Amino acid sequence: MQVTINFDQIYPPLKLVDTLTEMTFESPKVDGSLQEMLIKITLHPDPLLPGVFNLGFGPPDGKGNFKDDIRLKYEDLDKVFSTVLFHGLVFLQQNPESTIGIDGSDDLRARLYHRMYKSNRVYLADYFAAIGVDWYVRIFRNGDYEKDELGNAIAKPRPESFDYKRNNKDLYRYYMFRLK
Amino acid sequence: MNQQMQNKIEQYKKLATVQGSRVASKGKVINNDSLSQVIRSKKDADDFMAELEAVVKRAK
Repeated sequence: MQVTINFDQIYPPLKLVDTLTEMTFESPKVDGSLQEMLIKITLHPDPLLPGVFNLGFGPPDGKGNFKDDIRLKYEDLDKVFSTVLFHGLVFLQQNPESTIGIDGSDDLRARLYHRMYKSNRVYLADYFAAIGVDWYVRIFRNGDYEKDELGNAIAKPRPESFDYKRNNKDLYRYYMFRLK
Repeated sequence: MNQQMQNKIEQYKKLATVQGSRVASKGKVINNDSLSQVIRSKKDADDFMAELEAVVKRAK
């Protein structure tokens, strides 16, 4: 699935919070009906990561959040993603020291973001620094690796500038972007 | 970034200021994501943030 980002083709906001942490818009589906979508930008839950925000979107769940486990058939996926990223761009312009993170724990979502970064490299490079995060395990000189008290490997996150030569199947664990 | 896009961004910001609600909806707080699961200590977090800043600086 290919996504083409174009900030000249976005859906207008229905509801916009002045801190830009929340926005809703309507997206047509392939069956012709309109689907309300909610974008949320929330401070990362780990207080040790200041200035990192999570970005997510999906149909509102009626409780102030969005459903991120629903696969919708959008009429124009390009326009949906362009709307979400444009909102992220404006948020970062208001908060230039902040970083937006997207959890890649869901393979389908991670694949979509990975391909979106790759196929829009030139366009997005005007606006964002793209970052991919891998987990790594420290291996000692004796061949053993760093473990916790239960003997499980200790994984640590390592960010790098998004590697556009990386295979589409070689997904990062976490995706981030910062204002350029 | 071209001037036309910058104007579009400024219009959007103005819309948020003029018409934007001041209250975000209340939703459940997500306690962790995959990144928080691999940040085990303040040192892990400090190391990660320092590496992140270095990557961003190089990308600019």
